[in-house]
Amino acid sequence: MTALFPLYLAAGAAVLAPILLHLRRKMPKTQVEFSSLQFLAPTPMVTATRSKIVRWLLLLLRCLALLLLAAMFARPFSLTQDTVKGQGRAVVIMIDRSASMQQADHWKQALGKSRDWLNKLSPQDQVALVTFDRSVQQVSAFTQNASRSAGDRAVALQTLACGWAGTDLGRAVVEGVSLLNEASKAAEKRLVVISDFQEGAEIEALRGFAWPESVSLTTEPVTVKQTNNLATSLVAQVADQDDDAVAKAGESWLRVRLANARESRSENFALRWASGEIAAEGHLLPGATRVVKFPRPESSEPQVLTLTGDEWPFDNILHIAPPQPRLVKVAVLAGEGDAGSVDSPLFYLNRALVPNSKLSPSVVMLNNDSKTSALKDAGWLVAMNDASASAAAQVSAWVEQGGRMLCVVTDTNASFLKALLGTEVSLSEADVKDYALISEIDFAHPVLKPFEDVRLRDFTRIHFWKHRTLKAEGLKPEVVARFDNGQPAWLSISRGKGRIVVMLSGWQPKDSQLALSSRFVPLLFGLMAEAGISLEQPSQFVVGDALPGGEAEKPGFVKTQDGRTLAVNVPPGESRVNAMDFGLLTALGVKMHAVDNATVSPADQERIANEELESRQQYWLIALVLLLFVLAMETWLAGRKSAAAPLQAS
Amino acid sequence: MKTVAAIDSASLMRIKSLELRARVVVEGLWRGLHRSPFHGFSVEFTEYRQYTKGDDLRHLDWKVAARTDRYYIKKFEDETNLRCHLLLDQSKSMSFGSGGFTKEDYAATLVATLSYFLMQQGDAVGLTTFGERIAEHIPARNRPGHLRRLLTELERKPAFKGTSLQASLQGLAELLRRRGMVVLVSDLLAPAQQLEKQLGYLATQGHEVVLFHVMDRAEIDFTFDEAALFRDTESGAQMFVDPAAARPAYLAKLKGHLETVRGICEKHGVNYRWAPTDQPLDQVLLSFLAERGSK
Repeated sequence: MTALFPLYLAAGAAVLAPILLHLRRKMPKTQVEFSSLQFLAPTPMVTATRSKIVRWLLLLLRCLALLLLAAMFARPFSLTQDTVKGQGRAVVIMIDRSASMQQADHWKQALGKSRDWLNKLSPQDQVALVTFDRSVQQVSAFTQNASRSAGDRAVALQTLACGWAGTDLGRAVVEGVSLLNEASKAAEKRLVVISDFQEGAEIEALRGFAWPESVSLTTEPVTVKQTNNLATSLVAQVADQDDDAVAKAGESWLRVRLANARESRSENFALRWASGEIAAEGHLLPGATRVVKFPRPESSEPQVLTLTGDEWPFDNILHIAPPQPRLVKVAVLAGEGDAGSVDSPLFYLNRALVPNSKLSPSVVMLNNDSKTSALKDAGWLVAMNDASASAAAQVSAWVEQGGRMLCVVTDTNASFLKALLGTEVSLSEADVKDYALISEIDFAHPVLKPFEDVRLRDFTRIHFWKHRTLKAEGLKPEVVARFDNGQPAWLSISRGKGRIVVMLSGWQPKDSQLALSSRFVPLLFGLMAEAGISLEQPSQFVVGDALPGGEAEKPGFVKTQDGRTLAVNVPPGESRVNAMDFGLLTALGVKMHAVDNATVSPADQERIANEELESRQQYWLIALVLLLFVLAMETWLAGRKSAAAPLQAS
Repeated sequence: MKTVAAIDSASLMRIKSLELRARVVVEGLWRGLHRSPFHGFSVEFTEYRQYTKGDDLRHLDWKVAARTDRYYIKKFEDETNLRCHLLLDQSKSMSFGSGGFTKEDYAATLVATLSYFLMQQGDAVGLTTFGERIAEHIPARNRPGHLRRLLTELERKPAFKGTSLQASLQGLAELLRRRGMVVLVSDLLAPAQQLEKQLGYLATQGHEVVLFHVMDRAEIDFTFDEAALFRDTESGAQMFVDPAAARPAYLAKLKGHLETVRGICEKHGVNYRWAPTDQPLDQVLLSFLAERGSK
């Protein structure tokens, strides 16, 4: 047992004071007023009842209080053999393998520091080796490493390679702490993080994390020689330019964000295509961010943009995927009629499903005697109720296998529906006075997802001049919407794995104003989305994102099974290479360990180690509790004594 | 004299008004006196009372009997002009008390009772309060409002420190020209030698001197338990005293002092009345009056 501030123990000599006070000849405190002293003779003074046990107890308690006070200030701690020699520690060495470590010799430095740490540890120490970027990869666990020699550890280190993913320092530290908790009983638990500690590293995971008192974090930053880094990231690809003056039909434009590091000395930049052609160039002040716009080459090939002007090459290449609208086959099955007539629903369907940069629907008219194979690659089917009943069997089979279709009832011909649903169906013209409105809509239904926002839910301006009523035996369709006369407007019927949506009124002007309203196109796209045809199909990813074929591991282009080309880039956060403020970690409750490096003298190291040992053991708290107890006892005893009967005549 | 239920001093002193206290004691006295078997005890008594069997016929008022056909015992007219002077010690030592009231309270009540009693009889009563010197001197009178003046003076408590019987009695002897009765109420905590000279001087002037020696029970028996610093109320002197050790010597000295005082009183014909504060006041007065009546 030793003390952090042993000089305070000298204050224990203050116990002499109460001893002397107790031993002195004490004048009685109580005074008695008496009428006359003429008949009294003074009694020789004696030490105030020293033999009483209460006095001794009081003296003992007072001395004890002073000794405890001195001990508390001296901050005692127990110095065991293990802690002196640094044995029996549990250490997790975490090496940052994020993309920013690709720069210069950062990775080499990290490996060197890891090696140094491994060499510093004694065989009694438990060591776990971990690498991290946006996730944590365990290289060796405590149990595996316990028996490993220094050579084995070096081999384990050599197998490591730097990655291209982003840095989630917070998550890594949290997992490191949980790994330390798995370690068997150790004198000290230390987390050693070897990283460039760039400010782009995420530390959000530490928010709300209760840092264990027994664990301390040692930061081992690699030396970053300079931060002259310009970074680039793609903001958006747009079909055409907002600025009419430079717009060209069919031209695709790129918006690229450029960011310059705070302490960068590089200010001039140039963005070049792979062909060497300059896409954009200019001047960017340190710490500034700017978005530049320029047209992409008229090519359907993936493009690579290279940024020049800085000294950090790892994030200078921007991979840009080509515009790849999704090809969707929309099959249409209708009776004989002029699809080009404004009275035909197909006229409006063809015009609503125009290709855009993300989706390219192709409307394919099916013959009534088409076979199931014709529907095989169809993403969605739109059928009119006047279609031939002979085609219904194939359609029904397709739906049951998972196909999604829309059936529009434009007249009272029920033969197709009867064949499609396989039940007795009758259609009749509803009695509509002036017009009908849609009043009850189930917006929670998947086909109405585009109308999730309450501001888009107004269907009251769409008048329905005509609609039909459907009666089907044994069929219990789900009503998606009703007219204001209570009749169903849109029905949803599940068939096997698929679904049939039935509209009991056409959208052409003869039946209703639906096709001419602003709700028509979103409604169609909602139906298509419900059929699994999504508009959102990103083609730009960062390393670590989940791709259709697995996780993106490095920047570049990835070909998917459906022939699309995806671009993978370095996470933008990795380009923020300025050093992190460690105060942020402390503010989040991380208990930092003193830096173990050559700048700290051995004496200071010992002092710091002792301080940490003392702060862990906190014997002073025990002394404080005892002191309070002793003081309470002393107060009680002293009070009890003074509360005794006052001196007076009986 | 019949034995009457005495009012204990502590209960009496709880009555705040001095006048009321005096009245309570006097009423008790009257009850005791009216039933007293001692005939003619009340030489200064100026009151009629109904004749009871056994009364001395010499005291029967024949004029009243002839007029009213009732028998009353007659007062002695020539003995009603008693001049009584009450002398009250108000020194600091009188402020000591252990039973919830001080000697001063007891003495003031005693003086007030005597005043009330005597004024009722038509006697002239005067009052002199003293400490180191005479504080107030009210000549003996018997007229309306005089009792109130006496009681007001008794309720006033001057801040005297010491006692100087010598100076006070000497001053009083000069003030009292006509003979009468002098009643001294004091704790006599002063050298007895001083007392002897002045009491003798008063007695030689022809005064009938009565001394009520008031003492507290704690002073008489020295009933203290623990050792403490005893402080003289008059001089302020302090002395460490262990009661257990000091009691025998104290009691011996006190006894000597009391004997000296009694001896002086006997020598000079002073009527010495022992009045410890725990003794009911009416008993003290009744015994005094009874003794006096029997003379």
